[in-house]
Amino acid sequence: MRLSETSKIVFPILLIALFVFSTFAWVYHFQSYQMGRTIEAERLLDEISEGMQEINWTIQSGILTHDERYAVQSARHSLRVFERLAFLEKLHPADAAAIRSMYLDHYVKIVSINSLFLENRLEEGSARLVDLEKSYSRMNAEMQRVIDLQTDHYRKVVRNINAFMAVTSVIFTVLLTLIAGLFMRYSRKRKEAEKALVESEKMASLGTLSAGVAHEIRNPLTIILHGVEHLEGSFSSDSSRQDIVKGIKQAVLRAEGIIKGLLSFAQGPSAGSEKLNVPSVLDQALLILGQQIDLGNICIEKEFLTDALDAPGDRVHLRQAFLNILVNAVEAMPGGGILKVFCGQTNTDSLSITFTDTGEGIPESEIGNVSDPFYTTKQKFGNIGLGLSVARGIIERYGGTLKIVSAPGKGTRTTVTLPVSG
Amino acid sequence: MSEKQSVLVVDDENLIVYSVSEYLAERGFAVKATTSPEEALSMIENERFDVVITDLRMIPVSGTEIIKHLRRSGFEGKIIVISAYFEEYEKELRELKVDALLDKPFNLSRLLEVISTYR
Repeated sequence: MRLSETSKIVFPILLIALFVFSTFAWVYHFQSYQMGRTIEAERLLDEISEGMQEINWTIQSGILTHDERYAVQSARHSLRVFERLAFLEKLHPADAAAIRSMYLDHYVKIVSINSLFLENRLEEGSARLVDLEKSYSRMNAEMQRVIDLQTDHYRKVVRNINAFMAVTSVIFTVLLTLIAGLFMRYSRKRKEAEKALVESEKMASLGTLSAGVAHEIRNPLTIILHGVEHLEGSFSSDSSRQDIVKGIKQAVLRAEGIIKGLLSFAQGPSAGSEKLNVPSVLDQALLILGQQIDLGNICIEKEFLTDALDAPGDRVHLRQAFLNILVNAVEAMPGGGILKVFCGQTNTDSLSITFTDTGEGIPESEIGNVSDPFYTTKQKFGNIGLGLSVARGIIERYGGTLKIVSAPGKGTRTTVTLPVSG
Repeated sequence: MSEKQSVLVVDDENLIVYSVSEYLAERGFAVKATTSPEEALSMIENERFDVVITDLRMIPVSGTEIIKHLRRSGFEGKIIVISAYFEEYEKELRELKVDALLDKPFNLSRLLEVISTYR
């Protein structure tokens, strides 16, 4: 399945967005939970605080002391409070009356007390016995405990959040790097696969086409060859017509050579490869070039660093590849020019052969197409654009590469590399 | 005295049939030729040939069909296949065991060399 260009962009963005969203959702949930606990703690503190105020209020209001039988022994009053009717109204009428009575009758009669208890009897009769001293210190301790707990808790929360954010950042960075890496890898693999698919489709159609072309061209070639063989008997051996007949036979064989090259390129590797002397193969290709097309005002400059440059391959195939490149270069210079052919060992593993012309050049946008089968810029009848395609196929089959550098008006350089024969 | 070798030439290209049959006839062979593979089948039924030279890709009857017919009818002569593209019939040809394969374009002199070995 092939992803569209849009989904190629949208897919990773969605992944990243999902990750970022889940990270923030996690942080939000964590903080909400902590917030809930904080609110609960604050409520508790409020309760304690209220309790303390109640005690304070009671203390400020006055302390009733009683004996072990809970009979009111004394009342340390606060005038301000005792004057409040509301306070007395809260007490049991009997107590209220007693306090009032004590207050009025005895004013303040402090007796020694064993303990500091407060017994409140409410109006409905229920009683509450409060050990003020203990309650007070207990509440103080409780409040301190809660405050300590909260302090600890907040410290933990801050530590947790810091740790969490650090871990999240690391995870986020790692994941982002992984996603980006995977995406790039996927993208590169997909491009390679697509390229390979396109190449194999091209090769498949080229194979089918080559078979058809071979059949359709070889029959007329047979007719021409047979016709010439019939005619050549009718000329004397020294007739100049014999040269014409010979020329026609050579042309037939050259055309057949091209068909063979095309078929072998389209159908796979040759049966065997030998150790070839590349300069000699180049010389042969140059020789055939001169016979094949009119070089006009083209000057060919050869530079072979040494004659001992060997590469593995099939002589006919490599010669055909070089010839195709040379023909292309010559045809790019209809008004003449210089064609430089260089051959040398550029590193320990490979040979480099460059063909540099001073011709028309190729626009940058079209360089990628020039070695596609049937790509041609030449309008001349008979150019079907197979030359560089066949050349590239042959070179790559023997482990080499073919690269083209060109600029319109400045010429073209075709560089072939071939592995050195071991 | 030796009797002329009889040769049947089958190819849907008229000029190839003409050049091959003329060339062989000039060199002493009794040549019958046709551009119709169907006619070739009836000629095989009715006449005896020492050598059959046939193309492969023909319509409506292919060269391999002609060779199979020859094999079924107990043909004892030699079979020479001439073709512009053998690859598509490679498997069938291996099974049919023909005597010679000549790639088009082939030289007539080469054909003569091959046939001469059958005398």
